[in-house]
Amino acid sequence: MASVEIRHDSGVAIVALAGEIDLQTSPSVRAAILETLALKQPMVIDLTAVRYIDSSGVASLVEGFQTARRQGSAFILAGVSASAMRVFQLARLDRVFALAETVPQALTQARRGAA
Amino acid sequence: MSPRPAPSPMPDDSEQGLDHLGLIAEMMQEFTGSGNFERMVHRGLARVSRHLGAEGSSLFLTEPRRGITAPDPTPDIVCYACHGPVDHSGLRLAWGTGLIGRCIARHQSQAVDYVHGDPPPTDEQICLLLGGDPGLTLRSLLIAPLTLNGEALGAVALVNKGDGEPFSDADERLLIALSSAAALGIINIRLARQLAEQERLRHELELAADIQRGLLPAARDDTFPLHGLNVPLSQVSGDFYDVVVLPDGRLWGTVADVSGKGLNAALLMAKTSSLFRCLAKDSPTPTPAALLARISEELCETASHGMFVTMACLLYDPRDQSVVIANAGHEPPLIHDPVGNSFTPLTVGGPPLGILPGLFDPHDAQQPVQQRLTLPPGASLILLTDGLTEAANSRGAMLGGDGLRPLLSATAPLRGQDRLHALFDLIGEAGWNRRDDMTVLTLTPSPAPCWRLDLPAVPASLTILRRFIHACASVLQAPVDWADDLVLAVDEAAQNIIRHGYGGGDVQRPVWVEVLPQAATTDAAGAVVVRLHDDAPTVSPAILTPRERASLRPGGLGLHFITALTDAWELEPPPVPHDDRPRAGVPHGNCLRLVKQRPAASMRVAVQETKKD
Repeated sequence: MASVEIRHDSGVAIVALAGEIDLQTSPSVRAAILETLALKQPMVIDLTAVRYIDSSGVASLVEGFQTARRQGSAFILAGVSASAMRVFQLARLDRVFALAETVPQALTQARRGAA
Repeated sequence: MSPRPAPSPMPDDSEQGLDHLGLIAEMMQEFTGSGNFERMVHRGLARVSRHLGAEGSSLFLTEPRRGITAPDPTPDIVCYACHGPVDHSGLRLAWGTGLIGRCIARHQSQAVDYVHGDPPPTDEQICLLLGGDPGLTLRSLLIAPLTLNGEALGAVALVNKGDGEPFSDADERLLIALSSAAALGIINIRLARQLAEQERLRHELELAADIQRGLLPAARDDTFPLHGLNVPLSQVSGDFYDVVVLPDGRLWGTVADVSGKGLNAALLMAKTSSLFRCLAKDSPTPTPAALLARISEELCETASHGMFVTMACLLYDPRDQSVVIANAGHEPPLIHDPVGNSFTPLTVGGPPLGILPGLFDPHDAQQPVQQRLTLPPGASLILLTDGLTEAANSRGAMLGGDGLRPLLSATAPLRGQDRLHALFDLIGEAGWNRRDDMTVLTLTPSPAPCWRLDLPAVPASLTILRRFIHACASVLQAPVDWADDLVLAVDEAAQNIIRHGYGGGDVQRPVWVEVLPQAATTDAAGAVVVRLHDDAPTVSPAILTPRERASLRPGGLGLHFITALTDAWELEPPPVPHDDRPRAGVPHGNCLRLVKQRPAASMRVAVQETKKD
């Protein structure tokens, strides 16, 4: 079970994910990220409430990251838990993604990047 | 006598009008306040009588007929209060009776002048309005309906204008205006009373729920073989379970479901549960079937309104690990063997309890109601109520017995109360909403040496699979990080089967997973082996190589994760086919074996128990 909520904070899109991101739920996560990226705004992915993420969830984030990079938008992951970080490390993506501890920090980072 | 078209509430004479307006304002204020209703009504009647010069006045209110709880289209009319020479409060009239009834039914005021023209009053009218007092003469009458939003609330009646004249048009207009204020007041008070009543009922239900929870046995530690859990849908439950320990060590266990819902079901539940406890402790006839028959006889003696009880009851003897189980119309109990993940429903049983004396026959040779059995090592006997199988998803589909099995298997590795709480949690996590009380009781005499879970090959199964691996790791007392790693590795392996073996998923096709803890040696804590089986076309081991990081693409990380998170993995030779279905051309069946070494300091307890078996 997972949920996706999208909100906007002064020109930054925030995609808040919650629950378990797996083969069952990652398609809706992927769609939400790609649809929101079409607005060409900097994006913060809030992972604070994600309890579990597997390779299909990581793949959705990678696809979002690649799309954002192509269009020159910031793409920042916020609130990454220790277990999610473990999965990023396994995929050797922990140094690829831009990370922030909290959503407010990610917003500051995103605005700096966009300016 | 003339029913008249409703006149304007504003009287024509301006001085009198101001006087009347003052009265209306005062009464309005009083009626819409939150004072004492009785006092308010008596004061109101007295004031109206005085103001309009009437000898007496009465308030009639509609009240649903006895035994009718829904809104009643033709309620009774009850005299609520009187002012003046006679008091007939409490008088109850059928809908539409007499002048009062007509006034209320037609929402129309009635004025009668017996002195100057209208026919003399009937005995009934005298009786109704003057209480049949022969010392009084009925000279004139004025009745106005109490109506709000088309709902007939009652009527106000004035008797005998004091000056011997009939009631005037102005009197009628004033009474109609006052009645409107009174109607508002009555609705106000009625709502307040309903709220107070609801609050009182809620409080009483809470007390009842407290007492009911007290009827359930206290939870015991994991070494105890019998565990139960009851989660009511609302405050009180029509289900229960119970456990009774006999002095010789034998254990009684039961699960029951009372027909119907709400307080009456809860009361019958309390009675049945008390009977069970008493009879289980003291019965001279100590078989489950005889016990159920005794309970049935007792219930029949005081049976009410076609209510009955379905109940399954077991007696477990730890000395020879035998179980005797009887069933009275209840869901068939299940034997679950986690080693092969088999479920065997016990269909032996008779009719429910409390229907007819003698109907549940403990000695029925045609239809035996009881059986004796011994459970395989590690197996559980599961008694449950239909609240579990009738849980429904957002599309209204029911979980059903087949849907429940994977959830039972996934939580089977856990012990004691943990297992039952995990089962109820997983029902919710897998998207099934409760629609009834849920109760379950498990008898597990010994821990299982290994576990197996069978699932349809669809993405939605992965949640259940992860709970299963977590349950295994938890009962093996594995550290959290180790457990998380194993869960991710197994999830990735199952994903690959669903995505690549079954082309994205196929609800008709199986994935089955075995968890086999290996015994520890003197220098190692022992490994955990997880085998994932499928029925997809057989894969050549050569194509299974982890992708390079450079070739990373959506979904291509799985094998890399599995390699990083386990100590070893390999494709075993395909096992025997899952079924006899003919398969076109290519060979089918795969078994992926994952091995993960256990950290040295953990799992001692589990290893010892596994060795014991």
